[in-house]
Amino acid sequence: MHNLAVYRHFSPARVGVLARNTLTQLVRMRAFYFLLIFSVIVLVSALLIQNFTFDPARQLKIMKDMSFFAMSMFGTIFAIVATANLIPKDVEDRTLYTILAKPVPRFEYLLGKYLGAMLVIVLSMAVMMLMLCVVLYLRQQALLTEQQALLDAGAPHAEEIAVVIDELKADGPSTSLITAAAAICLQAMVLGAVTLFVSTFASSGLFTVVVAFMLFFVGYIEPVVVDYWRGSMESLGSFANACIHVVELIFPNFQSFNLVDDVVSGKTLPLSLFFKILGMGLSYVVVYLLAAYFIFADKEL
Amino acid sequence: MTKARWIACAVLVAFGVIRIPIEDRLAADLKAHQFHEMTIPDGSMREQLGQLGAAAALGGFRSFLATMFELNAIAAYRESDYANVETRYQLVTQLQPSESGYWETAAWMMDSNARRFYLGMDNEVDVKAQGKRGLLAQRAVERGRRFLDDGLRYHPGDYKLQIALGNHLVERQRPADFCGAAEAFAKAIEARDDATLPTRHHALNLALCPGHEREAYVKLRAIAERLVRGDYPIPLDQIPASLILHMRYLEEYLKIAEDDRFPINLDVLRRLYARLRPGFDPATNTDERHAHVLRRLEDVLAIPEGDRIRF
Amino acid sequence: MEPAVRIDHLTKVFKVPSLKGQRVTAVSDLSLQVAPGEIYGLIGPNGSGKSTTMKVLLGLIAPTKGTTAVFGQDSRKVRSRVDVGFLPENPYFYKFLTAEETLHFYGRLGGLRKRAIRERSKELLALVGLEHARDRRLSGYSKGMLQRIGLAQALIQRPRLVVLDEPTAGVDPAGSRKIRDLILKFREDGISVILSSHLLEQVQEVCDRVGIIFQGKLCREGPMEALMAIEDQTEILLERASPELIARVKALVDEDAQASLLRAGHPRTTLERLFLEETSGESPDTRGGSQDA
Ligand SMILES: Nc1ncnc2c1ncn2[C@@H]1O[C@H](COP(=O)(O)OP(=O)(O)OP(=O)(O)O)[C@@H](O)[C@H]1O
Ligand SMILES: [Mg+2]
Repeated sequence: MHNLAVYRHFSPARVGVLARNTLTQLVRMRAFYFLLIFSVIVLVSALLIQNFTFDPARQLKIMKDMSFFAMSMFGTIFAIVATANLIPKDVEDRTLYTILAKPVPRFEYLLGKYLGAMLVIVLSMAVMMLMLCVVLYLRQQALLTEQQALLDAGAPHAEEIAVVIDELKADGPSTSLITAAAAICLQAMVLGAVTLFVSTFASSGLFTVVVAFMLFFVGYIEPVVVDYWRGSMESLGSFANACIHVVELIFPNFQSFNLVDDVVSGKTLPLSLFFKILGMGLSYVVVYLLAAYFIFADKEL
Repeated sequence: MTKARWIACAVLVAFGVIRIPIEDRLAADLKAHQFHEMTIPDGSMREQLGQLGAAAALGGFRSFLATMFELNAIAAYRESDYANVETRYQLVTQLQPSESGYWETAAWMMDSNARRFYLGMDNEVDVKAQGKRGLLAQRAVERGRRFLDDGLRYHPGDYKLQIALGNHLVERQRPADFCGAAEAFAKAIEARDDATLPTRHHALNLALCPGHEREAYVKLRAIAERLVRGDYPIPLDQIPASLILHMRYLEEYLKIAEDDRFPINLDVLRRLYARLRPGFDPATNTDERHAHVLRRLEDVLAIPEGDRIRF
Repeated sequence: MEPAVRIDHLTKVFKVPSLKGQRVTAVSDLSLQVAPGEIYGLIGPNGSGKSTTMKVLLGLIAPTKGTTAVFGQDSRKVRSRVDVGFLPENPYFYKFLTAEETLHFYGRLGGLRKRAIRERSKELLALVGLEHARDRRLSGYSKGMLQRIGLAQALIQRPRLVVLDEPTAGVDPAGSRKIRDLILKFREDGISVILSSHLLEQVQEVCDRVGIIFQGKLCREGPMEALMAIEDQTEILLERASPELIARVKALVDEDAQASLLRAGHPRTTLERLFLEETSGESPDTRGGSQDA
């Protein structure tokens, strides 16, 4: 009998199979739907709540804030919870034995698992972003027609209506909104890689989740706090500075990916700067996956 | 620790050493594009601490939280709970000072809505009799002004905030500061192309600013000419009365020769006076310009002393 | 020709998670070879190191000392796994996949093309008798069914070596018999097998060679017949022998000065006896002095 297999040192097809398998696994998990439902609820409530304010442009801001909040929460929680159990579950269930007994390099396994989880995040973010853009556009157009009708009917305060129309025009779907969403995605991907790394040496899933959340929280807050200290005191002293450096060394800087607040305020990020952030995020992913691999390659199953 | 773990640690530390300077530069780049501006330019220490506390506690959801607290504030507003409206808006503006609309709404909530409420202008009950109300209204106006000033520190050239400040200076402040208002409107002009509204208000206030009468007259005439040409976003039948009145007043004041005056017949002014006079109550009026306009109209139309408004 | 399996002086020491940093020697200085086409049985009591040996062979854990190779390829290389199929003890697969999806998944990992997998999985599902459950998710599978899908999964890319860790554990007698027949068929196809089992009768039936492993050491190894043969005993198997004939044979034996008749009856399994002797630490003197008749 002839062996049917062809072996290659690195096979994107194998990584793809593992990624698709992970995608199936997460999609068939109930938690995933819960999170999606959660974001739908937020979007819908954004639509309902907007009648609350006076300023038409503020209505669009509410929708953006709510949706980005949902996306951030989904991305953060999903990146941690889904990746934290990816490998430990395979180890515990001994599914890993059968997978690695096939000609699958351990790096491909890690990469496939990681990409599968990220695929879920990226796909659901894309869906949410699309939803947001469509709803935002429809709402914007509705408000614009409303205001334009006022203007055409010769309503008083034409000059103020013109300002509102300008504001509305500037607040629709835009590329900077997409960069903000992409930054949320990127942050989730970095967080996923960090979590995957932690999970390769963690003794339990709970430990991984707790450590990952801590890394995320500190990595998020630390740059702001350090920035404030540096700005408010003349000198920090060498000991404090050394401490800051150690913290910076250990904790990923998640502030780099925080564009949402400023983008919602109407600021635009130059594309070149966005690509720098993208490069930074991808470097994090590569390095943490590599670190995860070093530990995982050596793991006794 | 196994060898693999040491290697992993070494990789992460090496990456840290490489990335930290890059991240510092990235942070600087972001700041250069007005991203991540979390410190207040020249705010008080207390405010800075509040800002930091908020930033630290809230991380990336400042915009979202600002929205939530504004909805909260609006709920309080619907119940006329202005004490809460104020504290909520303080929080909202501290959470997202970069959103100029929050400062403007906050100021409007206080110097207009809260003031009207305390003066009992929206309620049937005569609250003015209850002495303290006037004081509360005055405080609300001051709070509104504080929001405007703080907001303008973040957004020195903001169109809406400068207009709000201009209006505040003449409508809420006693005595009215026409010169200051003219200056505020002048700043708003710069923020927008073809900013007819602030241009007009700038000229109108300048007319009442001592020493600037001639300058104001030139500006008002330019507007009037545009209006007559039909090259103005306001239809002719909605022409603000004050525009013509101020021009008339300045022509008198500057003793402009009859032939050089802007041609408006007295009939138009008479109809204008008839339109404005009945709705005017000196007891509740807060718009100094409005009173000014009527006083000038009475002068120009030579209304007999007994029929004039008693201020 | 390269042996299908070559294990050279394998030692595996585990660090046990404890405060004192204790170590457990799971396998010590174990050497064995499996020739191509040979069916090799590893037997030994619980915790003797059978599974550990297999895991090292598959590169799932690293040897502390020594080397293992599959068809000449070092187990630490991923390439060595191209020609192996592995069924772990108590296998467990992704619950959210159906039998067919499971085979597809492992087939793709094995480097197969989609069409090849489709044909092969049909063939394998028939072989292990799971055709009726092909579209059911594995979450609803019984232990025996999981064992069978595990076997199918191991065979998906037509490996030349199959490693089976307790293939019949939890399988009913009929299924167990089927697996035995399957293994016998491997021999016809020239596929090498290394298996561990606690069902000695079955091992005796299918294996060409057996290794007995105790406390991590290979203490006895050899071809089945040689192991079973007791050097100073001879078994005479008669068919349709009349009682008179047996009496005459007895008389003949009695005449001899040295020989003595130990037992006359139907032959019995002796692997179990051998197993117990090898692993109970009894002195070899008692060997052969069996009392059961
Ligand atoms: N990951 C591990 N960490 C520590 N000790 C281990 C590990 N795996 C196995 N051992 C120990 O190694 C020894 C051999 O275990 P192994 O699983 O190889 O035995 P086995 O022969 O397969 O037993 P069984 O018949 O019960 O399956 C046991 O003492 C076991 O406790
Ligand atoms: Mg075992």
